[in-house]
Amino acid sequence: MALLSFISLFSVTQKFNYWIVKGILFWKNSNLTLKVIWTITILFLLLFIVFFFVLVFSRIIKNFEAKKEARLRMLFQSPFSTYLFDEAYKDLLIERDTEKVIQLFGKKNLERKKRRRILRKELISLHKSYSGEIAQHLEFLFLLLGFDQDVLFKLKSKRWNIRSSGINEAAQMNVAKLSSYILHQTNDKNPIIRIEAQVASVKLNSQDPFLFFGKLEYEISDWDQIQLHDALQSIKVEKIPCMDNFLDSKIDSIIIFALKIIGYYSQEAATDKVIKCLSHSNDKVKIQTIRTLGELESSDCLSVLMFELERNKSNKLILIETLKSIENIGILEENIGGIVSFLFKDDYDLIFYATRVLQTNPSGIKFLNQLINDVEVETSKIIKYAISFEN
Amino acid sequence: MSNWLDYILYFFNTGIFIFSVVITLSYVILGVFSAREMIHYLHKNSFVDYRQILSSPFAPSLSIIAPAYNEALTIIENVKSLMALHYNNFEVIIINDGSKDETLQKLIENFELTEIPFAYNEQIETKTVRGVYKSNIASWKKLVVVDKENGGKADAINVGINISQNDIFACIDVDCILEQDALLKMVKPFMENTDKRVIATGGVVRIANSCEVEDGKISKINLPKNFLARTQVLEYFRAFLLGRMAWSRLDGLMLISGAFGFFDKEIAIKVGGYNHNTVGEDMELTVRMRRYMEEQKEPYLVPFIPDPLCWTEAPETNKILSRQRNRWARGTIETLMIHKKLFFNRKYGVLGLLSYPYWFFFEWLAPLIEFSGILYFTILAITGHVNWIFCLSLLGLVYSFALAHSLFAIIFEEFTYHMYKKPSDMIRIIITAIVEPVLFHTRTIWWSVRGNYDMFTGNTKGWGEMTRSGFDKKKKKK
Repeated sequence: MALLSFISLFSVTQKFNYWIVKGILFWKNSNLTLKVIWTITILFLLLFIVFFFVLVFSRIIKNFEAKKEARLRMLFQSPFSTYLFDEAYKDLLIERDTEKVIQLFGKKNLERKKRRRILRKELISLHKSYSGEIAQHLEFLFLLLGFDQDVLFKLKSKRWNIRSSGINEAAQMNVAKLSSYILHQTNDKNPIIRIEAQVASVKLNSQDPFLFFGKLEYEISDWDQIQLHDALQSIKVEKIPCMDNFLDSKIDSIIIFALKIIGYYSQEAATDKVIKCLSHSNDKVKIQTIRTLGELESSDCLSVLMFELERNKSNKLILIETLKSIENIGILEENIGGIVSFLFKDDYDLIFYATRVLQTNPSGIKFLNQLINDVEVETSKIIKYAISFEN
Repeated sequence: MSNWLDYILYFFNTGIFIFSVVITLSYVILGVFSAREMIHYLHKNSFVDYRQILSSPFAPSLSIIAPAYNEALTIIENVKSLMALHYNNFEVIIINDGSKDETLQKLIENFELTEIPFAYNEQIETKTVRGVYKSNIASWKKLVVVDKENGGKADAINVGINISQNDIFACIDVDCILEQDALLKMVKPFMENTDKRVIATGGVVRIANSCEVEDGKISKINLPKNFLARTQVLEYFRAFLLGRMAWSRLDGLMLISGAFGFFDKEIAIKVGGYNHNTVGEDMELTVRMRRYMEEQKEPYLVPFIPDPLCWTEAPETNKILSRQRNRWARGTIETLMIHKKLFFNRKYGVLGLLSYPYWFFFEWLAPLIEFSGILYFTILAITGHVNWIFCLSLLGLVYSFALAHSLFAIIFEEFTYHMYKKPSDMIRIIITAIVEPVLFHTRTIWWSVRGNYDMFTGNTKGWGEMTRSGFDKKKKKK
């Protein structure tokens, strides 16, 4: 039986060898084009096989890692709740007993790189769900476990994504001792690092959150402004600085952002400086100034805006923004004459917004009701639509 | 005469080979660019908190424009789904494009709509608007329903643009399912740039066949059971993740899907809105807007968002799929013909030197060349002039490349969004990749050739009917 199998194996090997030899001869006798085509085909097939194995193994590894991470997360739940809610750990803020905390979370978990990373991630994610005293406890735990050093290590990385994630973690966990280090990065040439550092600076330097504006050499995008405003909301309203200092910045987007903040927090003390921005050469700044004046809602602002209507008769965009801002404040009887002229323009938007403005005053409404039947059909339609329009 | 024959023979023997090499190389290069762009995108957005946009008073306002034609069966659920999207300041404009069914009546009844005294600001010329309706209920205040004469999808969207109150508008197919944070993610690029104006953003459209849908949201993602739909999943991986991502990095994106795209209203109006004389109105508008910006010498961007945000039902039958592909082919030709001035025109930068020629040679001509190659091969085979070794080797090369390319696209998906988690899904998509070049690609070539034929013989059928089996129905089946 064994002999029989040996013979059959021998014959198979012989057959195989025969085909190999035939293949080599065929290759040798073929022209260069065919050889190139076959080589590339084999390469693509190998690539297909490599991709297949990458796909399979990455899935196996990913699943294994996910399970391990989930297990560790479960494991860390108990020490976290002990740390936060157990009476024995209540005085830790005064005692600063690092050993006790290390013991609680397990030395092994803090020494092994992967476990340490998961623990840090878990701590940060837990911090997101809490505010007040518990959040402060977690920030303190972050320092006790030495995670600030991990963040510092990330901040020194040459890879922008690691650096920016380090800055992000420092800001989230309120690691104030890294603030001066982060402040240097607020003017980084990489836009992601720059905005992360700016957001972190706002959160970590509540005394002077926009200190970096003085040295900033880059514009801040609308998205950056949203993030900065969001960061600013972590500071108590009374501590938010008056933004009028930034209205003469060389960077237009800083002026726009300052104007937005002035309007949002109704920083009336800045009104005079805001009005000066109306003569700015950049139309975007001008438009934001008009919007801010509308938000400040003072009678000074109204008269300035009425004057702007006269001054910018040829700039439709500015006229519309001005009308919108005036609508926000509301007009006095003496202003009606200045608005009415827009109802007779051959422009849909101007008629529409002028009607909206007139509606803010009882005499204006009366005037509109009288006028509605005396104007052209199209104008009358626009007026009726503007009257019924709800934002 | 013999000279001409020589040329034809030379073209088929050498020209097609060179063409294949160039197209293969272009896929490889696009793959590399795509990978770089994807890595950058994922790193950049790894710790972005999109809720900041949701709560910010500084976020821009949006108008969602969704045309509806004979959608009575699903319109209520679709509108509710759009209204439930996460965004602070937006309006939903539904354009009833002269539906013959009860689309408008259903909307009026369900959302308690009343006609308002509306003055139509016709910035883009459109068919007559019959009326504008708004709801009396506070929770539906964001909804605007416009009833108009039938004029096709492009005309309906143009009405929406005229009516919208905001600077950015989103064009969405009413039957698409959007992820809850879709608006937040799509609007972000409009705010990110300080030196260039973002004129449009495009998003990935994913296939929802066999997925489970609950309350207008995708609750469970499954790979389609139907072979044609599954092949389109693979096709979409390649087109969106490998193709458009790369074009986004090269700043040469020419197509933003009509199913899900965001546009700068000012520029869209300046260029005259959607063109209702083409079936590829989405591509045509993108190209026209880009062309306008190039001519004005204004710096601009058209970014692409790879996150899976929009889900749509793909055709599952040959008949419907052939209509869709026929329309795509005609739309491509029409757009390329309207903007022929761009062809290798340095004045238009990447658009003229790269994107347009790429679409011309590899999107329009490639299926025609492939088809003529097959025809040529058949003639040679019949006449006994085939060099079988060379022919089979070449076929093997093309097939092995198609396999590697598809698997690269699958890996791309696996390492980025990993939407299909079941191991069986992975195996099925790999099997699909193995059989697709023979069982599916050949069909798409034929449909594209038919599209070309219809285009040049004037046998145009407009959009053609797209019958959908509906997501809800699928769920009940389960």
